[in-house]
Amino acid sequence: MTAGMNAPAEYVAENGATLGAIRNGLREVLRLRPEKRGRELGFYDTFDWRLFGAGWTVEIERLEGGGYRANCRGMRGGRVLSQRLDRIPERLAEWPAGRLHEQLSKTAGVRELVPVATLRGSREHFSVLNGDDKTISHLTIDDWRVCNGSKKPDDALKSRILLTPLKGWEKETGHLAGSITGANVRPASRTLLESALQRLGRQPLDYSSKLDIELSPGSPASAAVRTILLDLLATMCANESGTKRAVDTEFLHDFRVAVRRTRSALGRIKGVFKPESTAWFREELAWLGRATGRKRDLDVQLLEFDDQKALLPEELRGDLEPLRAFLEKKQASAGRELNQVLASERYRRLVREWRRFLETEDRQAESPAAARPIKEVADKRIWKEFHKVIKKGEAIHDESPPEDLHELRKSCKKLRYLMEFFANLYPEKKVGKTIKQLKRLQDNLGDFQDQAVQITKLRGFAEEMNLQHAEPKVLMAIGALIERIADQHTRTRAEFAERFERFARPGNRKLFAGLFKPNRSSENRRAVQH
Amino acid sequence: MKIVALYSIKGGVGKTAAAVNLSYLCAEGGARTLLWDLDPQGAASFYYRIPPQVEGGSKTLFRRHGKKAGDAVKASDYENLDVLPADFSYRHMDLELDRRKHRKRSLQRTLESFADDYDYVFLDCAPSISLVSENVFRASGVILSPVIPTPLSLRTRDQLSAYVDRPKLHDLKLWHFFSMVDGRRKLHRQIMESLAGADRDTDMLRSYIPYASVVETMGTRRTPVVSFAASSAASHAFRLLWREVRERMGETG
Repeated sequence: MTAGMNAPAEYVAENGATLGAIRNGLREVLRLRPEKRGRELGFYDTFDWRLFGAGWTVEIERLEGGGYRANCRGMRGGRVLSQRLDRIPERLAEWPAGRLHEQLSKTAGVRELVPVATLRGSREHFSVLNGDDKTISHLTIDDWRVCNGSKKPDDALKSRILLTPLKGWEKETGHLAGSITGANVRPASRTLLESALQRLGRQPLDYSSKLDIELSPGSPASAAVRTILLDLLATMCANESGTKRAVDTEFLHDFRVAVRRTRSALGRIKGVFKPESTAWFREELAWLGRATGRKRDLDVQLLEFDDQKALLPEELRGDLEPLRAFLEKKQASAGRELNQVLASERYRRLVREWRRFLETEDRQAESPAAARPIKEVADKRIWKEFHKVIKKGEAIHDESPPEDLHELRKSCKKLRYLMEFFANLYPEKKVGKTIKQLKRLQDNLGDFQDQAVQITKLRGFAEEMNLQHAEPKVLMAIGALIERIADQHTRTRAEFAERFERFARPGNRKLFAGLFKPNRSSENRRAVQH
Repeated sequence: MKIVALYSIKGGVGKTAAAVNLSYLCAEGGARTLLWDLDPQGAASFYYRIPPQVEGGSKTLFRRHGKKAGDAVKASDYENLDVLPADFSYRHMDLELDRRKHRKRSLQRTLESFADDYDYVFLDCAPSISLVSENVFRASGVILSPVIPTPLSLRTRDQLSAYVDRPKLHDLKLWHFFSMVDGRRKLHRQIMESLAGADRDTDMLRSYIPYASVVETMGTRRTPVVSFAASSAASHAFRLLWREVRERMGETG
C-alpha cells in the first residue's frame, strides 16, 4: 500500500458492478457526505491539443440546480484549478478572470477551446470525512454516456470513481485508498477522457499541424509521395469546419499551410508524377491558395495589431484604433468570401478529384522513375535545394535588391518543406539540427519580407481610409508606425549577412552533406543502424 | 501577498475568533488564503478541524531545504483556504528563532516562500511580547489588535502603539478594534462613546465585535461563525470588520 497519494486515483467498475453496488461498497469503508451532483460533463481543448500537450485536462460540468464548474486538472502532480461559471463561455476572453483563465490563455495562445467529448448522465460528489468530520478528500462516482452526435444511441461508459486528496491530507487518503478496491472496482487503466475518446474513435493528440509521416526508405517514391499528399489532404479537410465557423485563426492557417505544402511537393518532388497528370491540380490548388489568402492576411494583420500599436509612442496609440475597426470590417467581408469558396462546387470538385487521384494507383500518371526508393529521391531533391539556397545566398551582398532576398526566402521554404516531408527517413537528432539551422536563416528572411509587406499594406490602408475621410490623426499614427517598421526593416537587413554566414559555415554544410548528399546514402544507412 | 496578523499582548480578547472568521471571509471572496496558527494552544487549528501537529516540530518551519513549512500546510474544508497548523513545540519558538542567523526576520523569510501560492496570509499569534512577536511585526503588513473596552485594555493598547512606533517598523500598520463588546455594561458603552468623537484615534477601527455566545459555540461546531450562523449579529460584525480592513488596505469592492 502506498503511504500517500500524490495524484488523484481513478477506479472503474469491475465484473459489471452496478452504480448502487459501488456506492454501497464505498459507504462500508468510507465516511461519505453527499454534496452536489453534475448532469453533463464536457471536455475541452484547442483543436491541436495544446492543453493536453502541456499536461492539462479541461472539463466543464453542468451542475444539477444550475450553474457550471470548470476544472483544469494537471495530469502530473494532481494540481486542480477550479472556477464557477454561470454559463459556458464561447471564447476564452469571456472566461472570468482568475488563475484558471490565466493558465488557459497562456497555453492556448491564439487558439480557442473546442469540445472534444461530451458526456451525459451523472457525477455524484462526496466529501470523504475522517474521524473528526474533517473533509480529507473529494470523491466522485461517475455514470456517463458518451454523446456521439449521430443517430446511434449514446455509448455508456463503465462507472468510475475519482478520489482526490485535499492538500496536506495525502497520507490519510492513501490509507483509505487501499480499502476501496474490492469486489466492485479496480484501478482504472485509462483516464475518463481517454475512455470517452476511444468510443468516439479518437485519442488525445490525434491532430497536429506538424508533419510526422511514417515512410520507409525502400518504398517506391510514388507510394511514399501519395502517402504524404493524402496526409496533407486529410489536414485540409480536418480544418474545413473550424475555418468556416471562424472558431480561431489557426484553422485557416493550417488549411493554407497544407495547401502550400501540397503545391510545394508537386513542384519540388520531380520524377514521380507525369507533369501533365498533375497540371490541373496544380492550377486549382494555386487558385485555392489565392482565394483563401485575403482572409488570412487580415487575420494576421489583426493578430499583430497590438504589437504594432506598442511600437508607437504612448500618445499616438489611441489614434491608431480606427484602423482596427477598419480592418475588422474588411476581415468580416473576406470571411464571407472565404466561406463561399469553401462551399463552392469548384472546391468540392478539387477535393473529390484529388482524393481519387491519390487513392487510385494509376501507373499511367506516373513517371518512369516513380518506382525508385523514396530515400534516393529525397536525398537528391533535398541536396539540390540546399545547393540552390547556398548559391543564392552567396550571391547576395550589401547592395543587393530586396527581390534577391525574397527569392532566397522562397528557396529556403522549399528546402524546409522537403526536409519536413522526409524527416522520418533520417536520424531524428541530426535532421532536427539541420531544420533548426535553416529556421534561423528563414526567420531573418521572413521578418525582412513581412516588414516590407507591412509597409506597403499600411500605406494602402492609409490611402483607403483617407478616401473614407478618416481623421488626420489616424493617418499620422499610421505614418509613425510605418516609420518604426522601416527602421526595423533596415536592422533586419543588416543582420542578414551574419545569419547567412552561420548557415553556410563548413560545419553546417558538413551536417547537410552527411545526411543528404546522394553518394553518401550508404553511409547514412550504416549511421542509422548505430 | 498581504500579511495580516491578529495580535494582542493579552489573551482571551477574541483574537482567534477574529483570525478564523476573517480568514474565512477572505477566502470566500475568492482570494487564496493561508491561516497560520502560531499559538501553541492550537485553537484556530481546532476550529478548522486540523490536528495541531507539524511533523518535525517548529524547527522545520524556518528551513529552506528539505522538510519545511509548506509541507505542513493542510487544506481546510473551504475553497481557497489553507491552514498551517499549530504544534505544541511552538512554545519553544523563541528559542528556535534565537538560534538562527536571522533572529528577527526568519518568519518573514518563510512567508516569502508562500508568495506564489497565496494572496493573503493571516497570522493567529500567541499572546506575548517576545522574539516571535518581533518576527511578526517585521513580517506583517497589518496588525489587527482586538481590545476589550476597559480602561486597563486601553492602557495596554497605548503600550503596544508605543512599542511598534520605531523606524524599522515604519511601514507596519497597527489597527485596533473593540472586541467582546458587551452593550449591557455601562463601562463598555462609556468607553466606546468617548472614543467615537471627531478627534478619534485614526488607528481605532469603527467596526467592533460584540460579545456573543454564538462565537463560543465555534468550539463545539468547529466551523466559523460566519458560516454556521451567517445572519447573526456576530457574523454581521465580522463582515463589517473585514470590509473596513480591506478598505483601509486600499482595496475596493
